[in-house]
Amino acid sequence: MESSASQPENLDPAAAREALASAANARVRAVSRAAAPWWYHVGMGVFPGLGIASISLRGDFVTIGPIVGAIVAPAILTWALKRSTGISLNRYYATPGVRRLGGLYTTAFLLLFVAGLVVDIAVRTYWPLVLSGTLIGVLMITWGFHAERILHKELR
Amino acid sequence: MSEAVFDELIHAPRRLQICAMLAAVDSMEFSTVRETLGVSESVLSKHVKVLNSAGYVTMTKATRSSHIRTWLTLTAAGRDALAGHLAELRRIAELATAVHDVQD
Repeated sequence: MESSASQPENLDPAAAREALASAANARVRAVSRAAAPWWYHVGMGVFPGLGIASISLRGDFVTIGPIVGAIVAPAILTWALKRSTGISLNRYYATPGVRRLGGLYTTAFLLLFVAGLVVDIAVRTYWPLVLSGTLIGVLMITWGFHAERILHKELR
Repeated sequence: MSEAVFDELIHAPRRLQICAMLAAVDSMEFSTVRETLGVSESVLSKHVKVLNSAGYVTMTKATRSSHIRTWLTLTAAGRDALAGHLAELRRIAELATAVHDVQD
């Protein structure tokens, strides 16, 4: 590794401002390219929502549904997004604002899931987890678009 | 906060742009960086090699259907060097404002 730290020679304030503007412009262009399309956020809500709702079908769906909906499908969507944009970015964790938002939404998801599960066990019917999965799916879509706006604002 | 240090290696216009772009994301594909900057493959390769030798950028190659994709990532050392360099540029840029304030 070579050392490259040195004192600036012949670098006036105007040149420094120009370099800063150039760096800021490049950053904005990179962030613009990282924008996730609508199908990504919709998919990141629909599949986990279906995965949770499928638990109400009992049998193998209790394990396969959540695994496919909440783990496999999001992983495939993230891989497809990375491949289509040429950019890898953890959009649910990249900036402080997005992390704070993630904490709030995760708490809401856990509460909804636990509430759905408890009612499902108590009344032994299918609708509590279907309702819980639907609400979680809608919230996840909202979270995705909300996080995207905050992410782009903070990254710029 | 990083110490303000001028980095000759990063200061080259293209290299500063490459580092600024990579700092905003986890990693970026070589062809995406090239398209975003609007430079040729050879020009980008040259700058990436310099940054890689300095330990500022890592290159990861992934082969898929006989097509090689190269992913570029700004290392922790690269992020520190960029933050220090930008801090130094801001300090120099503010000198003019300070001089104007004194003159006024």
